[in-house]
Amino acid sequence: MATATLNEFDNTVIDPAVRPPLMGGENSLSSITEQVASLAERQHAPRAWKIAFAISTSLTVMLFALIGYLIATGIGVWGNNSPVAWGWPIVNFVFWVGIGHAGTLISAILFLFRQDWRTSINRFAEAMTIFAVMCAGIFPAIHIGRVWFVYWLAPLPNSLAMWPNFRSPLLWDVFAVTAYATVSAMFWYLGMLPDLATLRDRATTRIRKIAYGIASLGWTGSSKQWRLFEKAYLLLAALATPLVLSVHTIVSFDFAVSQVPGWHTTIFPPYFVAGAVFSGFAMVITLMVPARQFFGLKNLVTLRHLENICKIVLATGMMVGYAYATEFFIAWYGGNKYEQFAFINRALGPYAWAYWTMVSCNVLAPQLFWFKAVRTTPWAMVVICVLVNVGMWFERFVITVTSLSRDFLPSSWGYFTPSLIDVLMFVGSFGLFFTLFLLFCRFLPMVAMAEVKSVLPESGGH
Amino acid sequence: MSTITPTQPVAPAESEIEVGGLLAEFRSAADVVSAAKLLRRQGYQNLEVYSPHPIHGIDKVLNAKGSLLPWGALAGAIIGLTGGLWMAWWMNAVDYPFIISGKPMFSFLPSLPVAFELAILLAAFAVFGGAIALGGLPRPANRLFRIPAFARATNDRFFICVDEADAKFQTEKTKTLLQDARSVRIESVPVIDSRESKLPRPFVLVAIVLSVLALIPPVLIAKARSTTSTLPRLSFISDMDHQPKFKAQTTNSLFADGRSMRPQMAGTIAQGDLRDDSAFYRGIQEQEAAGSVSGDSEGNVTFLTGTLTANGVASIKDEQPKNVPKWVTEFPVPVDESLIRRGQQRYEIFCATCHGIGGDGDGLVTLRALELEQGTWVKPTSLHAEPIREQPVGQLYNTIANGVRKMPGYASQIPVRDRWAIISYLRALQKTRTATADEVPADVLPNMRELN
Repeated sequence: MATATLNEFDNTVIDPAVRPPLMGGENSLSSITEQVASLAERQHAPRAWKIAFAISTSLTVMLFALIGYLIATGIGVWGNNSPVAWGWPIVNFVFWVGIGHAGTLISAILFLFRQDWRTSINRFAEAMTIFAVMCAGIFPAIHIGRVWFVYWLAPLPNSLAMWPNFRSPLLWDVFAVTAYATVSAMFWYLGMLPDLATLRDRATTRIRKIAYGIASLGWTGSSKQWRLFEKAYLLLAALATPLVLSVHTIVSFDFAVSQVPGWHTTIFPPYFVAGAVFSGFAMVITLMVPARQFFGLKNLVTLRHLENICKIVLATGMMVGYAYATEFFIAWYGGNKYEQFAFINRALGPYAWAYWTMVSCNVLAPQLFWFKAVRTTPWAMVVICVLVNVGMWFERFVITVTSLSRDFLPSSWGYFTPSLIDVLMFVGSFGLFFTLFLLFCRFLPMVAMAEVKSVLPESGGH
Repeated sequence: MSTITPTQPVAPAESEIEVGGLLAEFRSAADVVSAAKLLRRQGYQNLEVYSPHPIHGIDKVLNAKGSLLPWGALAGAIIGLTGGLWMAWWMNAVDYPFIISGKPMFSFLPSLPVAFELAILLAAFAVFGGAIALGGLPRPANRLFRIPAFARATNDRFFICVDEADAKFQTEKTKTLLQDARSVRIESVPVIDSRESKLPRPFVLVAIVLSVLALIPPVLIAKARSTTSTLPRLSFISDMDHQPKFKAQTTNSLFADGRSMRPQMAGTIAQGDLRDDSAFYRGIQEQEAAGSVSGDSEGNVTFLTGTLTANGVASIKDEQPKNVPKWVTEFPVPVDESLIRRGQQRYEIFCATCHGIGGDGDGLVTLRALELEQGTWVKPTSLHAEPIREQPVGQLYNTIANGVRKMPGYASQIPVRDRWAIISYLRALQKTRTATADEVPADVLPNMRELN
């Protein structure tokens, strides 16, 4: 394999004759271990980490205090009211579930396509998936009102001798999101086993020895274990790929199976999946750029990684834009007056501000990624990707709220206004997400060391 | 156990007894692969290679067998898929039939999402659990962990472990072989310590105590579920079980008379009190309507065969009391063409769906219900049948308002005046089958033609 030797670190140059290295700098097996493991082994957390952790845990505490208040008072503390019974909680749910999808995509689909560059970022993205799904799961669980009956969602024998309705998309959703969270967690944990063993073997204090010793289950790296590991990883990737596509498909069924104008469309499954990947990759950039800067991972997570992600953001952003256009076309072509009204109302009605925020953030902003200068400037991509995340939140808001606020009968129309609790809970969910993420950065191997080692040139990697 | 200091020659005498095997360290994956090849060529069987990342091709050298994981995944997927479909069918079509718009109790497509998710989930469980269990994990204690140099197996070094159980194993010979294969360090592996495979005694004791204690709650729950209790049930979250409200027939210190129920205020009329025209509102003759419960002419309430007289003395009657109300036989409203037309329109909206446009009991709902043959439908009586024709209008009115047999009351849907309108139309409808030629007005008769 021809490998370019790059002193100054630019592997974004495309030269067909030279295969650019996946990583920068001089890497060896031990240097990778040292670089990644030392991040999780620091005696004292850096000041910036402490500040960030203090802020995010405060927000998490606020979130759980508000959940307590909500449970004690009732869901009237939200802005949800007839006709908009699905307000911010469902918007937030779809937003967070969507974010998770990029993690599975990077870890499973790119793995199946043998995209070796994923090894530097997959652990990171998988962690993001799991934390995002945890944030997502909170909202529908508290949205049911009487949370102590949450077990009614599951097909468990109960004193009412009643079973859930298997023809309801909301039940499908319970199964899809639970399966997704479980499989993602297994995938993440299995992939992390060898790296936890590395941390165990490097541990100096007794507490760390015991904790990583238990977590790594006694992994030795024997060829038998590696054989099983590789087979299992491949199989889990193959299982996670249809799973990730099905999850957001089923989330879209929550809307598409109903008959509300603007929801009842067949384009929803692919449109939702593309949107989920779009928002997830934008979130990867948003987290990855500061993290690689802060933790000095620039030679593992190279500019080329970021550029590749920007290209995916651009591609999925165009798919989402295409879906917006198709929705309008079908509303006109389908000849259904209610459907036509729903879309004219979205673009020109009382929520036009939200609609055009969505279009500008999701369709227009990523167009800047056509320029290589933008794709290789970290701060520029962070700005665009934050805009994309804003836009994707608004997409779910537009779909949920505009359709519900003006459905069939003008007499039952309304205008949705969120309450302060709505806003604080959404902010609090970010607190939870970042708390978990910061803990992950502090105590777990942030980069899949064993996988990176296996793609090093010296290990006969590619 | 490791009495041999690393990298020093092993003393033959003690090694033959004490050594459980040899662990050789290598610098690179290529070295470890060639060493493994060498040992295999020499006939060694009991080898294991340890590395910080998977080495491609090592499985072939070690002659490793294929794994069962794909079959586990397939089994998990099949169980998940069939189990999911079975769950949807049994729960929604058998154990708790969900009736939704007359759709089939079970259909394949809407059951698929859950079955699909379960297939993936169970396949993933099989793969994950299989990889952990077949890899011999979790295994917190391992004799290799007692060799400090082995810590680099998860970092940057490669190891081969030759077990002394191997038929070809001879400490010195094997050691020389490994050294020739460019091993940078050779350690002797401690023999398996019997203590290693056993849990420490306190752990066992704690585990036994905890598992016994864990049995107590389910036993208590099982007992509570299978026995009765005189105590009120425990209500952890009361929901709407206990509401702060005043119930009928209870005391209340808030009012001077100490009653929760309030008497009617002076100058007010309760809802329904204005409906004192019994013939119009109930279809029953005036004198019958004194009490809300049917009774005899003295205003006494009858309960089955007993009579409670006004002064409280009960007397037993031998004969059955006659509880049949005195139905109104004449319309309490003026009957004209507009009333009948109104009645026809209302009849076709509310009655014809079951009774049929012609009143023969062949409405569309009836036809569909009979076609489904579910056994729960009673075909409505033909409105032209003799007993119906002879019913007084008051009784017909009562049937519309309160229902009869399987027919529900329509009081909430059809206002009082419309009920009489329907009856007027019904009478006209019945006449179409029974009227004789001399009942037809003379000016209409020439325009009629002979039917049948």
